[in-house]
Amino acid sequence: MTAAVRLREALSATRERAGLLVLPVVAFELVVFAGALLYLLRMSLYEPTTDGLYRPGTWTLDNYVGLLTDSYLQGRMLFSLQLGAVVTAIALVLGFVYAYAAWRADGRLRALLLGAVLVELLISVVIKVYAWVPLLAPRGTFNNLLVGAGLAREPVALLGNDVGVVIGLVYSMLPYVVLPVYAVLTTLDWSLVEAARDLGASRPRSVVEIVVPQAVPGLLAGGITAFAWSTVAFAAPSILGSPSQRTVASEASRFVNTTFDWPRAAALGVEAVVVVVLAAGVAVALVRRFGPADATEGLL
Amino acid sequence: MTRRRLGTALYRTGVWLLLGFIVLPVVVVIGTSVSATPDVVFPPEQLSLRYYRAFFFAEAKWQTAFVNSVIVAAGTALLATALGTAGAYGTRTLPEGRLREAITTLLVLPLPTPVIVLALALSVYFARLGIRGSYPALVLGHTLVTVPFVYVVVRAVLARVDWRAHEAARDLGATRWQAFREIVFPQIRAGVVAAAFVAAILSLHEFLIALFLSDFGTQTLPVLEWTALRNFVDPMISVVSTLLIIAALALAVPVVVVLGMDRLARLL
Repeated sequence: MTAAVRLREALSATRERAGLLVLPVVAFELVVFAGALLYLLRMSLYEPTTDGLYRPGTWTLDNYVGLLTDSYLQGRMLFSLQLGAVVTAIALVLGFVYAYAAWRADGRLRALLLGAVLVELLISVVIKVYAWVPLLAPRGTFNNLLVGAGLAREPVALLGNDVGVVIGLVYSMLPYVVLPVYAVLTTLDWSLVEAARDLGASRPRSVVEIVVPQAVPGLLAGGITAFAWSTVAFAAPSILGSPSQRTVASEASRFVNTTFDWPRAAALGVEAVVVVVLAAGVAVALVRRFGPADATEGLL
Repeated sequence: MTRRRLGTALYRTGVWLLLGFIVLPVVVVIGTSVSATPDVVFPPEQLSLRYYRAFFFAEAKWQTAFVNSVIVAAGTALLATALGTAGAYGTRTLPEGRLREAITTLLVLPLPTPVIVLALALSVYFARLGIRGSYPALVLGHTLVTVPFVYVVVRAVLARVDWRAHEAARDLGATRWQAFREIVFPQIRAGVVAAAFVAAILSLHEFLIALFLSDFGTQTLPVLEWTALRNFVDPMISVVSTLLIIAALALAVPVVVVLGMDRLARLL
């Protein structure tokens, strides 16, 4: 109520009533976004029933207790976090190299490098995952090349295991790392790196000691996105992995669409958000504590 | 000296390999779509357009999904552009401070939220409201994840508007609406259309929210691709993927012309 009053006061204080134009989109976010998330929270506190979706009017913490004591689901959560960590680490390294190359490139090459990432950014995750099937299959492109070149005597398993899932996820996450890092690099002064080189620093050293610390805000933003999304990845583990690559997202989807155990799915969703937000918070805190100054400015 | 040259060569090779890594899947999708045989192998053994013919003339379920995708993308582009543009224009006139920051945060918050959580929450919420499976449900879900992009793009476009002409028009007696229509809107029109195209592309390619919110009758192309992919892989999936990529590229060209590649890369 007080928030509404303050909002009205602030709006009447504006020079123009054009400020009122924010109201539709704010209402939309409150009704659809906040409404859905709050309902998810409420759903996670309903008692489940065997014959329906949930028992209306009940309040219980059993769903959370169930999650934390279920060793199978805990194993899935642990696997999801490991998967997220591995994918994020690889995506950060490759994404930095790519963003650096785009920043240093000129004219056409820069347009090519950025254009490729932008195109990939637009493509549906289903397409991105599907495209790796003919490449990684036992009789797929890579295995034909490997066997044809004599590097492997028989096809290597690249699909239906961790390898396939990690490749598919690193591929999907790369644009989300490249773009924020590139955005930070464009504000950087190249003459600093040149100065370091004039003073005798080797090329790799000048990049690691001067460019990487400056790129930390971009790496942090990209890393948080990559971690948050690959931890709860759904499409890549289902298509490129096997049942042992099931993530918490796969389990939540099973509860919603197959077993109709909505309270449990909701609790799992809430748990996933809490874990991912905690992990992001730890990353931000670590960078604040040990990273270069001002690296976290402008972050939520 | 030779070590440095070796290092440079290694770095260059690495960058080209990375570019290949990014581009290869797109090439594979397009390459396997013109296969003459039901196997999805790259490079294809025999070329033909038979799966394109099947998509356009034979398979009713793909055509239904195509129509669903177009309806949802158009609805999303309209709603997200209206909400996002009004929001961007409105926040510009708000005084700087906590309220303005809070509104901007609220508008971009759906972006870092894991999509599976959004899909899960919307699915349960819309089921309770009795609209899960309908077109409005899909449009609302897609608007949620596209509004932040429209908002950011229009904010950037508004920052370049010549506001002195607007002030002058107001001083000369133009109403707010007249000043907006005659002075501001012509300057931001291209940017607003670009934002609408971005929203349409994102909606066409969105998968997870569509999977959770659609039913058998409102499945979009990515959802039907997913279902087909779970059953068995055939070149039809490549055909649909290729067409979706072409649609995205066609819609992206005007966006790049208006905003510029470099600016777009830093905005998104």
